[in-house]
Amino acid sequence: MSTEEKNGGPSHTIAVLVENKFGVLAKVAGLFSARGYNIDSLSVGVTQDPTVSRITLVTRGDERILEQIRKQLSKLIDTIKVMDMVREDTVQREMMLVKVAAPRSARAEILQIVEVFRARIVDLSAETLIIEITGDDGKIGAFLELLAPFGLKEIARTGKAALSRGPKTLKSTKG
Amino acid sequence: MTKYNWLIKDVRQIQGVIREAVRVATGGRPGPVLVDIPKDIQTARTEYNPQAPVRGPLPAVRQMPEPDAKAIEKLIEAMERAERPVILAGAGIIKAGASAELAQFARHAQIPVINTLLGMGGFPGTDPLFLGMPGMHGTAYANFALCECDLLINLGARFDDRVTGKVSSFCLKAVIVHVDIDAAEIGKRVKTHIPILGNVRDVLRSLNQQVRPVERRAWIGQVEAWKRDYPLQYGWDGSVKPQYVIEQIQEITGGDALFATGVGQHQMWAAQFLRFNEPRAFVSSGGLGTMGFGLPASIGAKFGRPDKEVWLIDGDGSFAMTLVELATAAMYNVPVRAVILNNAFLGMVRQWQELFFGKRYSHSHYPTNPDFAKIAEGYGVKGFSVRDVDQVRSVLEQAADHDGPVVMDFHVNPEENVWPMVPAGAGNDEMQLAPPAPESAR
Repeated sequence: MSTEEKNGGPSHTIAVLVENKFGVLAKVAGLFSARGYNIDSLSVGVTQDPTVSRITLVTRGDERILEQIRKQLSKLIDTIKVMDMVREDTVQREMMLVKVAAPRSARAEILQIVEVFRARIVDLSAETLIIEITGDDGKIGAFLELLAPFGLKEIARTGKAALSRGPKTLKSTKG
Repeated sequence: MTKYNWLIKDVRQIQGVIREAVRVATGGRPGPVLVDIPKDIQTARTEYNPQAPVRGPLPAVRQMPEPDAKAIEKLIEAMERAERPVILAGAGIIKAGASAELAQFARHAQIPVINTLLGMGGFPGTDPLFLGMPGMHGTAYANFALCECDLLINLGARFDDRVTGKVSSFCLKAVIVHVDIDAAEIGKRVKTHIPILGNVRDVLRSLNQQVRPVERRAWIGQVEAWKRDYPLQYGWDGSVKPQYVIEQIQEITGGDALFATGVGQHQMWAAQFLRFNEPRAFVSSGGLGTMGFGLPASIGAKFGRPDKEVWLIDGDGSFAMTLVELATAAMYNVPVRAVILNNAFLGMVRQWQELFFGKRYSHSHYPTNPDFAKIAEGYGVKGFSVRDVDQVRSVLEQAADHDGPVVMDFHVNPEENVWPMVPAGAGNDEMQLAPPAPESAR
């Protein structure tokens, strides 16, 4: 199967609790590369339990591929729990820094967009601005679309973080 | 390559890690693990603590839950409806120690059994219900049965591509049941109608308590007709035929021995022509296809089971890769009977080049092979060189009686092919064999 076929299909966010040890991220990433599945975004951080890390990854594929990804992730010895983060039942956010061309003449208009999107300006120079924005895919996509005509110089995204709504948590069952 | 690995950075970790390593290697679906112990840790000192702590429950190797009773019920219903059921039994049977349960199940329910390459020995090769190996170099009757069956019960096999051939034409008439301890194997390559997650021995025990004995005269009769009309066969032209050598080994041992192999044509012929009497009697490298596996594996097998005769069936290409292990066999006087089916080719590569690449024998011909009998003698190991078919039986008998390692270099027909064959990428229904396929299997 070609990479393109595998990368088709809707996007899914998956949260994985893993042992907080060296080499674990490489195993997760290796699993994706070995099978030709693409990772759209990935973020890792330690949880309230310092021995446990949480990986949030965004990937693409049909239901069959998604099931394989879930099963293969569950099979890793260092995996504690895997959960599909369904959009409606979860809060999903990503932070992005974007450097945009901003000559004096364009600044007022950019500032207006920044305000509407509740983004923040974190750096200012004679020709450019750096803007920080947090949101879901839709918001970040719309924001980029509006800024594009001014000239996007550089973009850095953190990858997605996601939590279930309500009291439900992705509990670590570590003894 | 491994299921998991550890790097020990503090000598105090070593006891906990070794315990954990054993648990991971043997838990769930078993597999090899690696513990990397650096030089400074190897020479450090520590106190032995019999209660060294081990990491908490590891979800991936936890105890398997009881198999789902509802799924087993569905399988039993499917068996009652089925007219042409077939069992595909893999290495899972051997790893779970479920051979006795499988034999009871198959005989009770009157279902023919196909063994995958690494499942060989999981079901007695002499049982009338045994159909041999499926797929690329499987028996004609196993592939006919796969094409015609209306219920396929996969017990601990992973639907390898050499078994299924083209997936879109695999077992099209069948309800597919897959019993596996590894959730990631179920539904990976073949769409499964009745998935059963669990230890195959638990599943079989539960089935054996519930299955009613049945007769399947029409289906068993059909399978027997295929076995009679399309047996494994090879032609005679006065040369030493590799299949003949293996048949003679089968006769001499009665199948009551352990057999190791390398990788290639000889491995397929061994799987086709030997009849394994018990689990773990066939020691071979499957999915990884590790040439050179045979000689060291046969020495290890003899150390592990000193009560059993051990035969190595190898090719010249595989044998050449690890023949320095003859030193080990000589040093410990390990009585392995090493048979080299020497065709001076990488035979399986040559076969593909002949059939699919217009006989362009590129880098597969080894006309300058050494004299393996002389090499054996150089190590102080008894060596035979055989070019005459009339000597085959007597050399094998002499080797069987020899108290120590033996190397037998059989110069076999260099252009013998493994048949039947399902070409790569084709379906099992496109199998090629000398006589044409019967109408019902097309």
